[in-house]
Parts: sequence; C-alpha cells; structure tokens
Amino acid sequence: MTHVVVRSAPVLDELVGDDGAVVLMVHETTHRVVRLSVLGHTIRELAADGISSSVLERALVERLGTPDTADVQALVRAAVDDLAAEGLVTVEGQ
Amino acid sequence: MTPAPAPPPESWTTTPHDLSGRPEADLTVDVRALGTIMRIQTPDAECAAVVRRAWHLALYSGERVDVPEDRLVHMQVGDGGDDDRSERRSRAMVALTQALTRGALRAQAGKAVFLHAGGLCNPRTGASFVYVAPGGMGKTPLTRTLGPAFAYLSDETIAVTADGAILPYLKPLSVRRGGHGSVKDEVAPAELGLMAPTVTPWVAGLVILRRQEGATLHVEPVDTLDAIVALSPETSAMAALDHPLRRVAHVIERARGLTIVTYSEATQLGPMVDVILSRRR
Repeated sequence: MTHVVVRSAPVLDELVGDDGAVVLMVHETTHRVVRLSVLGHTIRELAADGISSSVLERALVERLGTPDTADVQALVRAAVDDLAAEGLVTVEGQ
Repeated sequence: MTPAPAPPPESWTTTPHDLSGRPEADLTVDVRALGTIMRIQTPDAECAAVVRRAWHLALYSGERVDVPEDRLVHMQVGDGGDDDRSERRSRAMVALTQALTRGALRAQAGKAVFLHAGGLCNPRTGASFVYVAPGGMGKTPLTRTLGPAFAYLSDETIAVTADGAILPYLKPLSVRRGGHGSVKDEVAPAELGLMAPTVTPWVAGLVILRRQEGATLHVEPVDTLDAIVALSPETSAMAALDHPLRRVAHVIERARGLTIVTYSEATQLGPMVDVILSRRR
C-alpha cells in the first residue's frame, strides 16, 4: 500500500464522541448512519485532503499509539478497506 | 389537542385550494398533523363523516385557511369489484392515513426530528414516553393497552422540535383486523378510550421496542452514538435537518438516553411507563 493514496469521502454530517463518531450519508432519497471506531474516525480525519498509506500508518501510530498487533500495515489496510466498502474513503493507486 | 392553532404561515395565503363558500367545502376535512394542517378531500358526504369520526382528535376547526398543493390529500374509495362499499371505504381510510402521513412528513421536513414511533403523555405534566419500532413490533397494541391511562400522541409518527416539544399526530389507530392479520382498520381514538393531551408534550423517555413471543422484559441501555445508529432506520427526512446528527443526539439526551426494550406483552412495560411519565422537566 506504499503508493496508495487514501482520501476521505464527503458526508452530509458527522458527530464525534469519546469513542468514535457517526456519519450521515445520503443517497438519492435514502439516508444511512454509520458508526465509526476511533481508528476509523482518525483515518478519515487524517485523510481529509488525501494521504499516502505509509504516511497514514505513521500518523496513526503517532496519534493512537502502537497497536497490540505488530503488523500495523495490515491493520490499517483492513480498516481502510472497511471504510472504502462503506463509501467513506476512496483509495487511489491500488 | 386544545391549544389554539398556530397562525398559518404566510405562504398559505394564495393557493388554488381555498374552498370557502363553495359546495365542495363540506367534503373537505382539515386535520392537524405533525405541526401543520393537512386538507383531506373526500368523494362524498358519507366519507367525509367517516373521516371526521376517525380523525376526531386531530380535526382543525379554526379559521379557514388555504393550503398549498402538498398539503392536500384525496381520499379515493374506488368502485366496482366484489367488495362492498364499506370494505372499500375501510381500505381507503388506511390508504388515506398513509398518504396523509407521507404528505405531512414531506411538508414538515427539516422542522423536526421525525421518529417512526408511538407516544403516550402524562396529561398533567406533558412528560412523554416515545416508543420507536418498525411496523409489527407492537406500537399500536401498546398504545391501546396502556394509552387509556394517559394522553395519546400517536401510534405511528412522533415529531420532536429543537426545544424537545412533541408535535402530536392524533391519527386514528391502525388496528390489525382480528389482532394479527395484514388487514388494518382505522379506529377512532375515542373508541379505544384515548384522549388528546391538554399540555405541550415533551420527551421524557425513549425506547426501541423489540417484541418477541414469550420474552421476559429486558432493558438494554445504548450509548448516544450507537443510539443514533439504532434510531436511524426509523427516522424520516433526517437529511433535511440542520445538523441532523446533533438534533437526533439532543432528542436522545433529553430522554435521558435510549434503551432497547425486549418484551412480549404490552402490560410488561406498564411500570417503566409509570416511572418515565412521572419525570419532571
């Protein structure tokens, strides 16, 4: 994921709490509210203007600390894939 | 509801639907719905009388107002077929309620948080119990069972304004024929012993109902962010609000949080409703 750029997708509204956030997405006449973990919310925050995956990984460790798992890259990739599946980030250069 | 009607918005003053003084005026019925006035155009005097009986708690009897096109609903009984007229009229009443609900929601979008919910109110204090649920989860049976001891707000849609007040929707209750079938009848609240609130209702408690046969009562608190997600499928026109997620969060916080209630019989909720309706603002 070294040359990949992650970029947050726009949402209609977002509400941030102590343990993550919720976002409101609208598609035509329907709406959907999605719950984000602290990790998911932080990824979207860091990727607001687009960010390379390697920079994103370092920024997340700096912001949230070193995770229990040693494979930070896999952890971040899985989280980004989940967000992309929900339409909350776009991934360019894959 | 007894308080004087809010003055109609200025935009109501010029429309093509002012029927004052015309013969067809007797065939129209104006009702209050979710903070606005909706006009029902019925096909004949008999239907108009049926509508007035069923919607008796919501009738608007103030000064005649013009209504814009989007607040006008036509009752369509249809003709022919094997069904008798009474049966066709019953079906038309159900369709009318659905059309009226949709119309009021469209007309009022952006002005309140709309929940697919029933509501009961302490008639003295306005403290209200709001029970959110998709169709078939027991809103109407709960309203019928516990409602006569309190004041009725709706068995279908609850609108909560920015200051936490509830705009009642005193529709006829949509009662499943025989208790379980898919056919519903629109039943006047008075026939079920329900009365309108005489004070402004406000949200004192908020639950999501999950009815399961044979279940013992189970109450599960939900934190605010998860509660917004849980409520979301049972909201209407959320995207039309300013800061919609904050507005829904405020409703939850005013209600002292959301709980998910699993139950089997409406009577199980009685003690909980008593506690919520005894709350002070």
